[in-house]
Amino acid sequence: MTDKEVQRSIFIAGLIRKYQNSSISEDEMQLLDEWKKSSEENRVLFRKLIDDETLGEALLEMDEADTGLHVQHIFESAGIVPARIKQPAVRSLLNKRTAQWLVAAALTAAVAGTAWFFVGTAAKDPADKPIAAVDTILPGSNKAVLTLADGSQVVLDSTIQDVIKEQGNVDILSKGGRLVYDASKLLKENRQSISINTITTPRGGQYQVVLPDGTAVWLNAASSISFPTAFTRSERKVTITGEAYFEVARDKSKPFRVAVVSNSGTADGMEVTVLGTHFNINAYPDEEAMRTTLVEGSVMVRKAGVQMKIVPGEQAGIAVNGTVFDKSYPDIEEVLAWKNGRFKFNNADVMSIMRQMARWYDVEINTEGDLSAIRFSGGVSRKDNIEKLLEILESEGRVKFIKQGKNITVMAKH
Amino acid sequence: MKVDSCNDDDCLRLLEQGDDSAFHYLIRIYFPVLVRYALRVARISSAEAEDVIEEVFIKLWERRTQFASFGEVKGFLYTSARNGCLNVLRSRQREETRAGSFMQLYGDESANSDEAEIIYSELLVEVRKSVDTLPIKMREIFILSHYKKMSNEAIAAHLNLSHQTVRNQKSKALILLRQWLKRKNSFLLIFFSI
Repeated sequence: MTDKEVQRSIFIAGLIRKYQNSSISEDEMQLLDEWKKSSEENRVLFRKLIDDETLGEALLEMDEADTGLHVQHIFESAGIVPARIKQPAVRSLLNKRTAQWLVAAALTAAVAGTAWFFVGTAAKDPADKPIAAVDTILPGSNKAVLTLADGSQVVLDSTIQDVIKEQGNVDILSKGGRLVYDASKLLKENRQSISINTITTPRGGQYQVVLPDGTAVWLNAASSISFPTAFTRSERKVTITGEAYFEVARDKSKPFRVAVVSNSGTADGMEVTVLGTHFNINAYPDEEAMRTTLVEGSVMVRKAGVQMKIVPGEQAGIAVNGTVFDKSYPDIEEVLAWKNGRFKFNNADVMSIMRQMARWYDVEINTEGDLSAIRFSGGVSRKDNIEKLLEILESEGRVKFIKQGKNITVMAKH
Repeated sequence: MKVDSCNDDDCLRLLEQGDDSAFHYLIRIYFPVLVRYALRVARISSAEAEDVIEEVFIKLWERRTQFASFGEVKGFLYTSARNGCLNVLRSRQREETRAGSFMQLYGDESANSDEAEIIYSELLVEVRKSVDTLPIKMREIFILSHYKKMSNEAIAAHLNLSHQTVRNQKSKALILLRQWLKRKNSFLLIFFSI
């Protein structure tokens, strides 16, 4: 096809477009008629284009999702640094693939469009954010890091919305602090491509994930969950650290097992086996015990050869190095407050309160004096600044706080 | 500056000046159309077609000051896409010793003539431009509804919007698209409104 022929085709397309929106002149109409009459093929083509159905179908053939990535490749190869984009500061810490996603997301957000699923809530240029005054301690927010099987990482927060295409047709959608795995398009022959993903929240972060079986998991700060991108085995097995609340999707043929790693690396942790139920596991390394609290259904908790079955309202606790489960009946609202965006304390000792503060506000806690007998009851929103909570606690006159940057010293008052 | 949409002359001028957002606009409108075109011109894989089209845009940026009209830019896009596809086929052919492999030079059997494929592509570009003019939220709803075939309920849940908002946004999107396309009773719009 010669350049002239290409130009002629473009010209004819222009005439058809003008015909469609009724802006064609008489002379142009004559040219279009000549083209139509010149061959049977042209006449058929014209009729098809005016009919539009073929265009509609052609539109559906086109893949929208990856355009952002292509833009990024092209910009990179052509040496274009978009004027409005500042490279995210984290870039150098991440591998190439993650950086590509970040840049693609930023590019798309900045110029609004292209990869349709990036649109909506744009990743803000960090420079646009008001600079926080020194010493201001912000409450935690929706943030986490997704680690894929190949070790590459994606930074998640509540603003970026994205379809991450995993191998094997498992779609991962991140939106509003929630990551959703969709394995519905997974083909049987693709099963070997199932891989293990890990979501890790930092201190001051929380995140939600919907696993490929529909199970919803809320991750509290400084926690993690590892799981396969599709549950194809006879059981659904995930591994967690820190604190997580589960709403397990019912599937009697596939028991759901949660392996709880209490200290980094030790596999001799606790295991919770369930069929379909709602429960909370708190297993932070700095807490004395691992606690499993059941809200609905039934679970079996197992550790080092001992096991205990609990019913709704019960909590099974076991010391990190312990071999005996202890059954208790906690305030469920207090246990689940974090998931509902609140801190709630029911006669809680000040150090357990401060450990929760440390994880959510990402602060370091020091103590002075004997605090062991000091207990508080009450509640505040997790969106409140830490000052508000400290003020409330101080107002009772039993403790005093000294705040220096991110360090908070708790002192007993006499 | 930020280019949300531009007419052909403006686009050419901005491109000449090295405006990356005008370039971005061209890529997001043309990229999927050119990939589709490439797949119909030659029997190559989607990944190969995407690589070819990326190269086309990289070359376009290098030569952005050499075009006298936007028509020439379009011509360059289609001609380079086609040549890129043929290069893929040629290098593959060198690797294959089998005599019959020449057959692969032909694209999708359902493909029309070269002229028809370019006409198709150009009209698809116009529709893409119109969808691209929708406000972001509306466009998102529109895409979920028409490209991803999601129900109003599913979109409402997905975007955390009320069912009514989704319906309103969808009908507004259709009105805007109709204005843009200036067409009445178009099948395309009926197709969109399913």
